[in-house]
Amino acid sequence: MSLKERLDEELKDVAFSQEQQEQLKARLMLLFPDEQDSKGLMARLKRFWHGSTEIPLPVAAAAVLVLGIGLWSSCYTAFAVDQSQAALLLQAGSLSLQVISQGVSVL
Amino acid sequence: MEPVEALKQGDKEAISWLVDSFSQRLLKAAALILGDQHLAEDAVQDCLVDAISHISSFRGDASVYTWLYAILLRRCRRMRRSLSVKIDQLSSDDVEPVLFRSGNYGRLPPVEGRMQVREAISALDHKYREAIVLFYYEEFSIKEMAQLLGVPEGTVKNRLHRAREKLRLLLESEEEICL
Repeated sequence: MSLKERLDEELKDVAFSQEQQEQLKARLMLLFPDEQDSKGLMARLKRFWHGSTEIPLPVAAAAVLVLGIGLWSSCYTAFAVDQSQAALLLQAGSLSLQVISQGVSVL
Repeated sequence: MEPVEALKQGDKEAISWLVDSFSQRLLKAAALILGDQHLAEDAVQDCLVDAISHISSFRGDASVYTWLYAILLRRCRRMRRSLSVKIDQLSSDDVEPVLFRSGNYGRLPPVEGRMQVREAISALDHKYREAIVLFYYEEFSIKEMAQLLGVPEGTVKNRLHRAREKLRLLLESEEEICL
């Protein structure tokens, strides 16, 4: 008896069941988009929305950096301190504190 | 239309042809290489999914089965590597019933009274196991084996020689098997 014959005999029960084969076929068919579904703008948009895109880390980091620079150049005025306005605010603050402390001392 | 061309176009009948023609044969080979039927089922399923996903890369230099077999071998190796990492993380008590142990072979009941060849093959080192399965069970030529295993033909012959010796030692009492 050859080795192959002997192995065939030993492995005769090693097999996919009919159900397993059908499941496997169904799983493989899912890998191909249905022809009907692949057409049409809505179907494409839906596929895009449910899909995923891989972006390399250096590209993603560069994009974030460019975005950050753009945002900073347009919004940096919000964080800039005007010295004269700050002095006026400080003065107004100190005056109101003085008024409050006078009121407290009268009471 | 050729089945492979039909597969490339996502023809459903071609998918059925692929599964019906090759899945059972691949399963037996994977069961011998991995030594476990459940793992073999997973390996074959993943192999066919890989094959369908990369069907456009099939150039037709080899037969469909040889191409599928190359994918299966890669899958089995990856599976074995990830399993050996997991087995290393388990305690020795947990490891025993897990895998690669003579007699623990998926759902298959042992044949009474004699050493099973598949048990002997499972006891071999993986490279010798692959050599035996490819040459004796799948009946690939040395040249095809060299391509599939990614080693020179001399290495294949050497592995086959050593594998044959080891298997002969394991099957000493089995005189009726021709190696």
